[in-house]
Amino acid sequence: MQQFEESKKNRIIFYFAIIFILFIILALRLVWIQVINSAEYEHKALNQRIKEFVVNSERGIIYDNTGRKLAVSLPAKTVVALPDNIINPEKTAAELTELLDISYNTIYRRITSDAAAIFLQRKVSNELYEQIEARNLKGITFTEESKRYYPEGELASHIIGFTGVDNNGLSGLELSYNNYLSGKAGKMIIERDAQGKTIPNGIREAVPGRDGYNVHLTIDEVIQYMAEKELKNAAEKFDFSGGSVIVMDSSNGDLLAMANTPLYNPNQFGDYSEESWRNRAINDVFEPGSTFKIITAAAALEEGVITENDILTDPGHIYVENEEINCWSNRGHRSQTFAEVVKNSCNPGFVEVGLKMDKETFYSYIKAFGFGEQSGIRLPAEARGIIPEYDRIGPVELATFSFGHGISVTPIQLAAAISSVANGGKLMQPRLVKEVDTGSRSENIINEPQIVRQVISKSTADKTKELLKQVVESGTGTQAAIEGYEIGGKTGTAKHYNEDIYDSSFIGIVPAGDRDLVVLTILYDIKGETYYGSQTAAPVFKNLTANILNYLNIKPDTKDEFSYQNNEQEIEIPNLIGESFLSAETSLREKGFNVKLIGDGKIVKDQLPAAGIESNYNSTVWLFSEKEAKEEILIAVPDFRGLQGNAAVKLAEQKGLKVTLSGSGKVIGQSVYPGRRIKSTNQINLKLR
Amino acid sequence: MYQGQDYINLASESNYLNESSYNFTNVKKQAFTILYIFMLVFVSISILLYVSQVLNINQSSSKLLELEDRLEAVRSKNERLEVKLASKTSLAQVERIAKNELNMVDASEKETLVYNNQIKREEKFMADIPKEKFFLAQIYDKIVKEVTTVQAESLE
Repeated sequence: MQQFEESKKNRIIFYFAIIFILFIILALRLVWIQVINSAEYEHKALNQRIKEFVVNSERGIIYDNTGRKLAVSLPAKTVVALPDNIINPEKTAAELTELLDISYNTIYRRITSDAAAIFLQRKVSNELYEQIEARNLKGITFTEESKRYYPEGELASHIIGFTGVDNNGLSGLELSYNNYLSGKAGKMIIERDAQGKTIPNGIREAVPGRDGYNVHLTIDEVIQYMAEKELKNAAEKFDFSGGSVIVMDSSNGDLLAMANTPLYNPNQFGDYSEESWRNRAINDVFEPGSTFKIITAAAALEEGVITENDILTDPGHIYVENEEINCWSNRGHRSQTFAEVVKNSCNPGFVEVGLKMDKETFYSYIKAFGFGEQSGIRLPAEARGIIPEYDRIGPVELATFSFGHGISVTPIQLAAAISSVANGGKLMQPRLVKEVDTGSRSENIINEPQIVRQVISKSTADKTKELLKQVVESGTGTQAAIEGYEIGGKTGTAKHYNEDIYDSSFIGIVPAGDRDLVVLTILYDIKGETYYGSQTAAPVFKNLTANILNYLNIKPDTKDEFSYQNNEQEIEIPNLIGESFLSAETSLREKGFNVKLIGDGKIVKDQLPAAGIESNYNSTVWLFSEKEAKEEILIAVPDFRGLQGNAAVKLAEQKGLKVTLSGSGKVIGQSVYPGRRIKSTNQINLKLR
Repeated sequence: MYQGQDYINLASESNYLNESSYNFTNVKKQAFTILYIFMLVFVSISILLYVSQVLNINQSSSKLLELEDRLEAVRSKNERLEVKLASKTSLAQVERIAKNELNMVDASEKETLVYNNQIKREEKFMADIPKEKFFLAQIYDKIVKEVTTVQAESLE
């Protein structure tokens, strides 16, 4: 009995010892967890409850100059699959195939993958989200992202551009102003329960981000719409690959519209070809053709090598270093003043003017007008244009430049250059973004109008404008005339080399209150019978300009009908040889002549035309300090045929040529072929009958 | 026997209760009991109040979170509606509706009529009768004036 009692006691002690040891182990483990290693477990527990996620900043809004939203950001749902939670992958894939633009196999492969979560389709439309939500598919959930949306659709799509799926700009202003528009992402830390719901009064910390800045454009939505509509209308009438229209406020360089076709909808940019995305007004170059004659005229007038009253001759062609350059009119324009040369858009006339300037001078003006360099509009992939290197330019190149061939420019360069003619000679930097609204944190970034340089004087600019007005009034640009408005402009038609394809353009200066608008219309790659700028681009310009003037409420002025006044008075040129340059110039200017001084000397050694000849009021008299300088000048030979003897002599004298007559009556033959350029010392024999 | 002895002792103790010292202790004990109960009730109420407060705060926080979610949803909806409105009122849409649904057409060329308001209006007289020849009319006017003119009363 005692033995049994002892055994029982020992067993109790034994079990007690085991329980004690276990208790000690548990206690030690507890100390290990709660005291020694508490930080690690606390961290693990916290990690289970706390969720840290990036709060994407909202991309800035793009506004037009009337405050209309052109690009906004909207929350959009992304369809997410949680493969572990999907019960019946076949059925889920089949149902999703009906709704998403993804094949059954792709969906099935994705939802049966090893990933914890997988994006099926990002940023779906609200309607699609509601449809998927209604199906209540197990393991299919949604996450919210921000999607770029363009409420106006195609409007100004080439300017605004578009963003990719990650909300980064890929094209247009979305790309070039991405740093301002995109903002800075923030961070959010939230404590959640086992069901994933936010724990009230739990940990909730936020590292604030910064929303993108809003961008305000100079574009006027209505004018932009009108421009795009006119291009669409033109596409119904003519066969061309695309067009560009630029409407610029010449006073400050503001772009009121910049339209291109073909158009695309940035909301579905992937459905269009890359060709459609191009902003041809910025990215592409074209041969300006006759529209470039405005630059030649302005440069020549500024340099004083020509005045609107100088006599020029066009036998239908001109020879420059044995290369024949034809006028668009086969018969030529005969003898005409420079004002008429501009009005008739006469190529040989402009070649003569271009060659009167030396290479360095003309080249410097081309550069000064902003050709061959980026305009600074700050849009991606802006082309510089193509101007041959200075050393490669010879007389033939100089001659072709003068009527806008052999040179390539971007539409924006041309619009900016002509704006400088419209605004009194100041080359303005084209302005597309007026202001970047940085919110309340800092001052807004204001993009003030910038004058790049003064290219020509105000008087030259005004004179050029007057010459352009008569082009529209009674010259090659009559198709662009609008009754009651003094519009100046120039047509342009450039033929593609070795192809019957043309780039036709019209650029006009339109008075709009206290400022002038410059409107450029270009139709690229025109095919068919109708291709001249006057037949194609000018009517587009006219319709657009009439709508713009109506929209801006610019009333027509019916009282002062424009009519270019040409002073037909003739004055005798005095003998100035031997006089000082200063007194000779003063004397000539007092009489009403324009003077061009050649050489560095102080005494006049020779003059052109010679003394005693009656020349037009305000025509140019060249004074030389070296006799050789005059002899080096090449003068285009007119077509004397059909003229009476005395008329032929007068014309030759006005041009500085020497002629001898044989016979009487009308000229029936001449020893030098019309259009050839000869020295003033050379003699031309005229045969009369 | 033993129990009986105890009972006797107990009886002697109960007798002791009747003493004045016992009364004082009894009151003291009762006071402590009341205080104890009061403290218990107070602590219980405090705990209940605290718990209910915490519950209230949690409920309010939950509601706040819910409202925040709703606000976010309403904001999203508002943004979507604003964009929808902008799309519907875009010039292209307006023109499409005007032309296709309302059968409107493009305006014909605008004609401007200029009204010249600078023209001097010259008063034309049908007959100019010299004043001296109008003697009877002058007398008539004078009589009418005398009859119709009333002199205001003066203070004097």
